[in-house]
Amino acid sequence: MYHPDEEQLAGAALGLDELAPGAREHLERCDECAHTVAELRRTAALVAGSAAALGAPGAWESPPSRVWDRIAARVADDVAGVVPIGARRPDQPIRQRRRRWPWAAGMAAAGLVVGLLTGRAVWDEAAPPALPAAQAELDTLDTQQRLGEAAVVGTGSGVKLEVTTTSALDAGDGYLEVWLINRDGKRMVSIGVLDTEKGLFPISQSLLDQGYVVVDISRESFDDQPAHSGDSLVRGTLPA
Amino acid sequence: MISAGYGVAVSVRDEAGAENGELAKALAVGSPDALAEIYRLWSSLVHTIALRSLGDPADAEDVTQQVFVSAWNGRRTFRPEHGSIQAWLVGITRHRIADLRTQRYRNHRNLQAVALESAATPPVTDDAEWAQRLLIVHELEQMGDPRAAVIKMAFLEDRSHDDIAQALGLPLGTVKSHIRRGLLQLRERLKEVDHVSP
Repeated sequence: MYHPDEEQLAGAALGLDELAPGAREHLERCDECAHTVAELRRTAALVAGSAAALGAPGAWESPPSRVWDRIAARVADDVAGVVPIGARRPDQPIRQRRRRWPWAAGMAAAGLVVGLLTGRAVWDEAAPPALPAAQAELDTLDTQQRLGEAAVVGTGSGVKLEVTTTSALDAGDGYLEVWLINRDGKRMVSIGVLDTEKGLFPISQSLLDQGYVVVDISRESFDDQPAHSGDSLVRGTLPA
Repeated sequence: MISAGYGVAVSVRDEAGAENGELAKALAVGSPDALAEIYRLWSSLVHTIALRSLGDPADAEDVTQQVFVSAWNGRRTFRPEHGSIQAWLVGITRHRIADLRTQRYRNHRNLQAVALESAATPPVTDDAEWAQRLLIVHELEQMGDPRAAVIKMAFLEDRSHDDIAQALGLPLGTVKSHIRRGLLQLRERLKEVDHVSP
């Protein structure tokens, strides 16, 4: 079927040109072309209204430098070695493990470059942490929105669970408590209170071996109920 | 030209699609300095959208942080053939703003569950429009002249085509051609936002 080309449709949308013979009739019959013309008209309206969107010319709002610092810290953690040793998540290609060292080697160069760009060496914090053994994404229960992650790390003083959230979770009027729920769905242990975007909680290997592998963060009230409130914000399962 | 220490060379010119692709590739293989460069180029676009949509500087900072952390975490899901990095970021920004509103709405609803049910109606917003308009402003700033000048005079200053042709010393046909192609280019960018965002 014949369709006018896009430039002709743009001309039609703006009433710039006389339409070619037959084109007007075509537009009345063809949903696809009529849709394109409608999109182009909407774009034109947005362009006309765009000046007001920004306000003064060039009035872009740059985020304060602390925003980048927080992003850089997250990325540094990621690059410096959140790669499972024991288990590989299905969506992570094996070759990623080999990339770990080139990444680590690149950190110095990256720090230099970013330092030059921002006037500060923000990658300095990327000292290699203890090797993590397993990690889990922490997602909201209803929408599966990823809000953080948990990783088992072996440190000199034993096994710990490192919990990181993308921003501070909302504790409401209470506080955030971190739990390990057993795979059987019946038993759970409280491993501590999360009061910032990041926490390190002592756990034990035997706890993991017994099947306490579901990481859960709940919102708790200051009350006399030590049990889980039932108000889980995020959850994720550590690989076996 | 930015050279990373491990064989990934990144070179950026804002307006060039090819270099946008290079940057996307460097990000996909996990180059932190690719992310730094992406942040340098587009954090003000992301932050301005968040700020205008939410009206609160602290919320806007949270969203901006989340957008770039999401971009880093989702770097392997980005498909450069479906659109530009900035369109991808704008798509993520819209998602994160919507998430934040949902979260706020829930908290509000919980607090007010019994007392003020009517107040808990989700606010009607025009986030999408803020995002689209600001993306257009940004694209116009990156678009080369004389096309950008023609588009601004035609759409923002509402000047006649003859007037524009005279002011810029261009043939009338060229002016119209720039208007047609410029409009198509901007529409393409807006469509990309829906195509490339996860």
